Amino acid sequence: MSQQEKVEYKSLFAFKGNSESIIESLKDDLKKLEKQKKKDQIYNLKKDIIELKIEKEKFRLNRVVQKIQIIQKNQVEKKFDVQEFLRQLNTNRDVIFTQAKILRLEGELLELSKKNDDPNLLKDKKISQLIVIRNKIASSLKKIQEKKLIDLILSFNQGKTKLIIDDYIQNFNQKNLNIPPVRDFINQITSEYLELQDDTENQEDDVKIALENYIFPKIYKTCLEQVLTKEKDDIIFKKCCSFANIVQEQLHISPKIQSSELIPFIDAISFMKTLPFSSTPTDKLYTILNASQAIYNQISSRSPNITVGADDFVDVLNFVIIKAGISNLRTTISFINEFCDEDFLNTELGYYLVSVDLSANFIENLSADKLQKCSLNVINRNLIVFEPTKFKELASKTPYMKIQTETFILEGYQLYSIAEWNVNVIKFFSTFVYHTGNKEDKVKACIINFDSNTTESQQALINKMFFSFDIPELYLAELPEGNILISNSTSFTSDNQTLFLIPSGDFEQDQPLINLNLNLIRLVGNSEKNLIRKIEKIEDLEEKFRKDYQISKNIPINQAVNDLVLELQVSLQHLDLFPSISKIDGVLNDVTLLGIQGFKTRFLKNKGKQTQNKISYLNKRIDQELNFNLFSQIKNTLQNICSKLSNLGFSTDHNVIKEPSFLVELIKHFQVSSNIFPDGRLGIKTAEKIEELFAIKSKVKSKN
Amino acid sequence: MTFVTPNASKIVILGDSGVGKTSLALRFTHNEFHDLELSTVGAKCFTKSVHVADKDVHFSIWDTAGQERFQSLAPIYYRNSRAAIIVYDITQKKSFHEAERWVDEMKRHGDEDLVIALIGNKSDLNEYREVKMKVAQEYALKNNLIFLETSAKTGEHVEDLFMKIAEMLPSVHAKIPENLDHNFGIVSISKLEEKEKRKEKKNCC
Repeated sequence: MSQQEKVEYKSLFAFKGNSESIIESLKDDLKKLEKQKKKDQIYNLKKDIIELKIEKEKFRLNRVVQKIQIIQKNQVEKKFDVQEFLRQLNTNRDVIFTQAKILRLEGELLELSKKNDDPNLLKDKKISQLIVIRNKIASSLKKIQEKKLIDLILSFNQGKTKLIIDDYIQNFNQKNLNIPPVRDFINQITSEYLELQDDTENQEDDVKIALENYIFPKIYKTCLEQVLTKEKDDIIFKKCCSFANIVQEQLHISPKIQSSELIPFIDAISFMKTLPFSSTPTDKLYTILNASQAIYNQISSRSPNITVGADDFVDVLNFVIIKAGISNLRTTISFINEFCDEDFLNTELGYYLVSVDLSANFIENLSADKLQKCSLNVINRNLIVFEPTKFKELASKTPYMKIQTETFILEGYQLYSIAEWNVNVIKFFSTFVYHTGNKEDKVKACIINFDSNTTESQQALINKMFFSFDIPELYLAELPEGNILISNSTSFTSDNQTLFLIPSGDFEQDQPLINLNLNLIRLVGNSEKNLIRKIEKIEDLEEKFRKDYQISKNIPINQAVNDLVLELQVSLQHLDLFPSISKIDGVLNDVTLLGIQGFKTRFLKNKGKQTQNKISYLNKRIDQELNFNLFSQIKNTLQNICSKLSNLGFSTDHNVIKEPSFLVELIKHFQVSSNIFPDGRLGIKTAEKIEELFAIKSKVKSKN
Repeated sequence: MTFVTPNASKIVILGDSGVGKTSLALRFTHNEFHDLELSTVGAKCFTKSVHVADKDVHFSIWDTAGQERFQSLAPIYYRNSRAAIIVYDITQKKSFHEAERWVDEMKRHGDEDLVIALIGNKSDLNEYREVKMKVAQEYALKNNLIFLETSAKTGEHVEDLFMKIAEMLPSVHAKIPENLDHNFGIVSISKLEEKEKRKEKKNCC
């Protein structure tokens, strides 16, 4: 053995000693902890963490000892590289898994200590960050391990396995009936791999899960098609929407386990809402398990010494599922049943799947008479809304809706507006609140009330308006004064959402600023995703706008933007590209963008990309849809037609943008004289007629 | 994967709400009774093994919601069960009538070889008894059910109950090569028998 190798051999003993002393000190910690009198959830978590740390160190120690023995057996002849060995030791599967568990538990411990207001802990935000970081590392450790394994599997058999799997995926997606079911295929590859590959680190379940994670995302859509039961999904989803404002008591949840949170069982609902997002059956089963655990955690944080049997659990689960409002619940359950590992069905994972199945059936048949009768003050039909004028106007036209309180100030909340909802004509409102607990944060609201005798179709309208939002972070929370739309986070998981923070808490007072932000974002683009904009800070956008649209610094920004958008809307309306029922409001909403799209198709013969589907997203660069050139083109096109019209004898001296009615009248005259229905708009037929007559007139003129 | 118990026989615990279904399962699997003393315990499927006739029998015990509003959905719970424990509270007559209804349902809709046990729980509360042991015993005998009175609180007869169920499970008696999944074997055999019966019936007609 060379000198170098001797040094390395000795260093193994040093590592062994180090690991042993770590274990000893951890055991001391454990002893100290066990002396504590108070044995609660925090104690249990701390104990679990130390035990896991000991376990992790033991894994390392075992490896070192094994290595030493091997070297001794081979009479210290075998060459080895300590550095390489230590690297392996750190990537050892058991160590990684244990580390991931430790991180997760530490996250839980922090969360719990935060709830219990542990004075030893740092400030709230810092803790939240620590929890997030821990969870991220834990999940990436898991992913690294899986990635390593799937690479091994795919490269197995000189890469043939990858070809076989990819071929299977292709056949599956082409709905080829001559292939085995997915589960059989996964089992087959797993057994082949384990039989022929000398892989002692990974167990059967790990291989199956790695394969599942590789295959399912690629065939997910086809799998869903196979089990799709849209009708049932719709029934359940509609029921969830119509009972979205239900309270715990109505679902028979016993008082001893009712949650006193602002949004009861928020953690469980949050987990459940993510159910459609995972694409493997095992992930979905774990999502359900996590949601169920969150229910127990919530109950135990309030009543620490309680047994929650199925009798109690199912009632809460019904509540959680209704509030989560999953649009394809029945299909999701069928997907898991059809494609999950059958071994799981007889376990805890299967138990909770069956519980969800039971809930889905219960909700499907749920009707108002099955709810527990509540005392009147419990049923809350009030809604707290933050765009009073809009709602007052609606209430004045809607018999089943009335204003309960004209002005209501909500303390301890910040007001946000979802930018995309502002420009989406289907969305009636765009605001929600975020709980800060700071009394200085105030939001101006009004309270509306729904008549208890609303008909089914009226109810459907209400549901569509208030209870169907496709953003998982939004919830309807119950306050004593009424229900409010609230978010548990200001960072949304779905892409392409821009949030406006309204510091004044008064939506209507700040409406002009909100509109200015919306317009500027659409005019110059907004490259950042998931952005929270403080509406009063627009310097960045303003500078770009002035440059791109050649606007002098002397003109106030509000006026410049407003004039530009108004001119655009009026021009589009003259060109019959902006519906007459839509308001010319100076806001670049989706209707305006559709008009621009129509302009491109009609005048620029741009039939390429359809932009309709991305219109609602503000933060995609709008170069393709809107820029200074396009503005000029629209303006010029209108001017061009107007001058031809004038050439034909229909002229006006008025400004057609500022006083549009003069041009409308003029066009009507022209239409009547040309036997076209006089709608006052330069539609295709009218414009063509103008062109035709202008061409004839020009010919005649040139002949003369 | 810690969740998987190989070839576990599924046992479903049915009965009116509040008769002590969860406590019974807890007593058997953890030998504890939660009388407001320990941390929160959730409903789940509990696992436990017993040793009967030289075999290890693994149980996966499913707690169920017993409220009337979920009754029509019970088949979702008892699908693929090998045994059903129907529990009533000896201090509540209503719960016994409910148990009778469950027995009827399981006889009608359960698998043919389903083992059914009728259990009068809370035997420690004898002074408040509303259901006579003799009445329940006779009913059980008539319907060919395992019958016991148990106390999840004291643990009385809880272990016996599960041993009896284990003894009655067809898979325990069936002589199947050890390396073969015994549940699978039984299912196949009973399915074959069913097919034969159907054939016979067809021939009769």
